[in-house]
Formats: sequence, structure tokens, C-alpha cells
Amino acid sequence: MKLARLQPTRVQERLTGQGLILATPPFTFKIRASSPEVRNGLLAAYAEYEVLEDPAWVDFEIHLYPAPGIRRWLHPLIALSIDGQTPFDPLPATQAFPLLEWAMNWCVTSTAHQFIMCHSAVLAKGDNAAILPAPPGSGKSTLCAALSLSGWRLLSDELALIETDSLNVVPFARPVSLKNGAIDVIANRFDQAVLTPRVHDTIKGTVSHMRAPRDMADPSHPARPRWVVLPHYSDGCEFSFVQISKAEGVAELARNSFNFSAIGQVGFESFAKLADQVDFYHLNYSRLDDALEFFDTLAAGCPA
Amino acid sequence: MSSREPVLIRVFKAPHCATTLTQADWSLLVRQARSAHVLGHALDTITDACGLAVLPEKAAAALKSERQLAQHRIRSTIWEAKELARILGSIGVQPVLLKGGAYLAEELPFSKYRFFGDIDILVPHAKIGITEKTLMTQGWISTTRDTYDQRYYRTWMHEVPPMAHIQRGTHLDLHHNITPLTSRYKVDAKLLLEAARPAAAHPELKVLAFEDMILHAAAHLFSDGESESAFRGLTDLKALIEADRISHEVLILRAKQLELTLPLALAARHVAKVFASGTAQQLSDALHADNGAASRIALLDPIYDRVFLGFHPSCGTRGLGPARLAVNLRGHLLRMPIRLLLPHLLRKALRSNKEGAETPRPLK
Repeated sequence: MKLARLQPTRVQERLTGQGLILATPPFTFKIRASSPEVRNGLLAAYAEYEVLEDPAWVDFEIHLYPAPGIRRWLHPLIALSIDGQTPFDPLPATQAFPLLEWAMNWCVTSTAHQFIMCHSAVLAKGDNAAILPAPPGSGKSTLCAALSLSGWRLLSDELALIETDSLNVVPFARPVSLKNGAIDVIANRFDQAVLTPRVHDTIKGTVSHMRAPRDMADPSHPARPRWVVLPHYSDGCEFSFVQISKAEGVAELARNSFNFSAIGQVGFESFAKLADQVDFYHLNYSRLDDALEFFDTLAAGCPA
Repeated sequence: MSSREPVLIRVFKAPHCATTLTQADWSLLVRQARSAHVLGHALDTITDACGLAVLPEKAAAALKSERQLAQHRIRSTIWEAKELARILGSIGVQPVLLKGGAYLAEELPFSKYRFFGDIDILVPHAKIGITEKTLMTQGWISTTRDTYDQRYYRTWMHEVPPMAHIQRGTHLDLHHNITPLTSRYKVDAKLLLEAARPAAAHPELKVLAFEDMILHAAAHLFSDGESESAFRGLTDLKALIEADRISHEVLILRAKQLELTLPLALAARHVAKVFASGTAQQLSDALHADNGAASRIALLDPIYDRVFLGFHPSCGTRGLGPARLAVNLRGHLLRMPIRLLLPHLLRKALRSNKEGAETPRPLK
């Protein structure tokens, strides 16, 4: 059943009881939390996702709970455990939903070494995928949100799961994490964007998550990488793009990979083979329209 | 007990039971094994017994993940170990690999998927200075500059402060013994070094005699004070004891010689209890017959029974917190006499929580 079809009180019951089992293919999370921030965040960001009934395959069980200690009366903190492990320090209780999102990412990046993983957004036209690896501050998430609302299929905002044999990207479409100025850019431009309540003063500033558009026919349908675009947003800069060499491109993929050094040769060979089937570009932009047009030009040159 | 027994323990006891697991069992198995740091070992044990086809799709993906990690870990560990042997060979020191690295050099089947963060080597105490200097000329540096930490390791411990390679980031623990200088367990490191031998699969690398490997693993597990990886330590011992490479007489005699009978008896007892291991039970019985004092170890059951089951919240062990605390305290007391321990712990407590858990942060 879709989360949106479940009464908010039922959602609350599950979150505070046996756990809410949320399917975000290819992974399933069981979430337990009493915090209203978590419930509201989930309802806003995951309305279209399936909630599974017990017994179901659960990949990770996440429990958010008030951090113990006398500080809880003055300045409540929220702690988080993943199958009994506590890899993170507690955060202010208001940041419970971003904490959950970051923990969900961490679950995958620390365990899914069947893939070569890259810190990047992935979007597709038809079966052709564009991978956008980029460090924070490059405007990757803004561009990702805009593309996903402009006819591109969202495969992921944060993390490319690339199969080491087929080199296909497996979709892991979750909410798009928008920060600071980007929140208004997206909210003002796209009426259809659904955003979670803003959370201020996080480690990344103000954060809001945009619900992933779920209009694609088959969310588990993989896509074939065709382009790797390294976006760079800079206020007021001239629009420009330049194709870069495959060697430089592979180095960029490796730099942004989560597990390149953990899986060694398999990772290197995957990126090297990937380089044979993709074109690499640097993209500098200040206006979203220019960037969107660039991507549509790429897609037009390569009919699906 | 049997129906409430954690599925992870059921598959270690009888891997063939995997053919009867439901999807929910499998899902729990993967999570329990991951939290216990034995995911690859558990899935490998199952596929050895039942074939690959028994794995549901998601378990097969988990095994692939573990395999891709293992391939690189094995390759880079053996490479680093050979590099260390080469560097130290130039000053006439033959380092003896310990723990994870040694298991790999021996190609012990359980070690293939065993994660470990650092390479441990043993050299003669008299050679520690020259070994450290030589390693420094080859890019290995000390990871702590804190003067208290430096003194702590050098005065009281069985190793120098941890080192790391400046370019590759590999961590190295350089030991001159397997138990701290201040420890209740007084091992004569000369005996260990004399009995060290070429590794089965990589003869250019040296490892401890097989009985010493078992005794080291037991001493480590039952004096370390760490409960986080206790279950993994017990699966190591299960595999080592069941490998059947040496007679129990030799092992028991060697334990006496190295004054490690107590940890060996604890290891045999708990491997037998947790995994219903016949071999471990025989060893345990032989130790009891041989040494009346060994029956004292039953007094520690309430603590270790809980700690070995504490790998996942689904195992629902009541009293786990106090048991972990007790293991931690026991580890401290074995490591140092109280007159050294109290000032040390006080000092560590006052030194704020600088080294807390990972700060939550978004990706990268």
C-alpha cells in the first residue's frame, strides 16, 4: 500500500510500534521513530512509496530515539541506531528527518559493494543515463531537481549504483536534498515540486527534501550511462561546456566514488569500461535554463 | 531455546538448515551477520554446504558485495605484508604476521571474508627501535603525537603507537608481544618467535605456530574488553579449533607454557556452548580434567553468554549493558594493575570526547 493511502495515525502507530517498512527499491528500510518531524518528513517526501507488511525483506532497521541524558530537557537531541550500531553522534531533535535521510544513504554506501558507487545525481532520458558526479556546492542537487521536473527520469540525487558487470545504473530514486538558496529556486520555478518542512542550522545550512517525481512506468528499470557531466554552478558566470578526455573523466569518477579504494581492481575496470561508452563534459552555468537546454541537446543527439 | 535461537547461530551450527529458511529469516540473517561483522563468513558457510542456488536474490547481492571487498582486501594485505618483509629483511628482521593478516597468509577458509582494519606484526623486543626507524624511512609514521599516548604505549603496552603509511593510509600495529607488559597474562614472546614458521600459502611470510595462533586469538578475545566484535572473535576460534591441525595435548601443553590456559579454557567452553561444537567440547573436557582451577571460568558465564549474543537487537538479550560493562572492566583489570589503571582511566575521562562517534553528515 502507498504511504499516502495510510492514515497519518496508522503511520504514527507503525513508527512508534513494530516499525514502518518503507520500500525504496532496491532497498527496504524498517523505520522506528516517535519524533513528529520524522513522520511529517516521511509523509511529505515518500507519499508515493510502498509500505510493506510484516514479514517482508528488510535490508536495514533504523531506530531514532531521544538521546538520553539531562540535556534532553533543555535542548533535546535525537540519536539513531542501525541494526544496533550507532555510527553517528546525536543531532538536535529538529533535524530528525535530515538525519534519517543521511543515515539511509550511509546504510547503502557502507554496505552495497556489489556496485561501484559514485557520489552523483543520475537522470535518464529513455534508457540513456547522465551521471552528474560533483562535490557539495556545485549545484548538483538543484540541477537534479530541475531536470527531474523537466522530463528527465530521476534515478538518484546522491548516489549512482553502477553494476560492475553490466555497467547499468540501478535506480535508487529518493527525495532530492535541496539546500539554502536552492530551495526557493526550485519552489518558485516548479509549482509541482513538493517539499518537506525546512530544517534550519544543519551542518549544510537550511535543508528541505523534494519528493521524487514518480511518473516513471517502472521505477526499478535500469539505465545505460551515456554521459558524465561535471556541473559547476557559479553566480553570474558565462554558460560554457567543454568535453574532457576519458582519462580525466575516469579520474573524476574515482575521486567521487565511495568505494573505489575498497574494491580496487573491479572498480577501476568498471570505470575504465564505462569510459568507452560515455562522453565526459565540464559544465559551467549560472542560469538553470542554459543547463536544462544543454541536457536536452545531449539527449536529442542520442535518441533513446 | 532452539526456536528462539538467533538464525545466525543456527546457520553456523548447521549450515544445511539454510534450505528451510523463510524470506524473513534470511533478511534477519543478513542483518544479524552484518552487525556481527561475519556477513561474508556466514554466507560462505551456507553456500559451501548448500550451493549458491540456495541464496535469495538479496542475499546473493550481499555475498557479491562481500566478495568484491574481500578480493581487494586479500590482494592488498598480502602485498603490504610482503613489502614489510622486504623492507625489514634489509635489517635482518623477519616480521611475524598476527591475526587477520596471518590467517590470510595461511589461506584459512574463514579468513577470506574477515574484515580487519590494520596489519599486525610481531618482532623481537630488542629490534623494536631499529624496526620502527626503518619503517619510518619507508613512509610509515606514528598516528599519534600526543605525548601521553606515546608514553602509554611505550611504557605499558605490547606494541608501539599505531603507525600508518603516509601515502597508502594502511594501518600497522608493530608488536613485541601479544599481551601488554603490564598484563596479568605474562607471555614469553621469545617462545612465540622461536616457534614461528613460514605461512602455508606464502612461505616468504612468517606466522605463529598454529597452536600459538589459537592461543593468541583466545587471549585477545578474553582480555580485550571489546564486546563490539566478540561474536566475530568467537567464530574465528571456532574455525581455528575445528581446523584440527594440532592435537589437544600439544595445545594444552603449550597453553601451560605460555600461561594462557585460562583464556584457552574460556574459548573452548564458549565455542562449545554457542556453536555446540564437538571438537571444542572435547578440548574443554580435556582442559577440565587437566586443570581443576579451570572450573572457575563457569563463574564468568553470565557475562560472556550475554556478550556473545549481543550482536543484534533482535537477539533480545536482557542485561546486555551491564555484561558489556563487566567485559570492559575485566579487560582493563587484566591489562593493568589498579595502581596504573585508575590514573590512566581518569586521564582518558578528563580528555573530553574528542574521539566520539562519526559526526552525522550528508554524503561527502
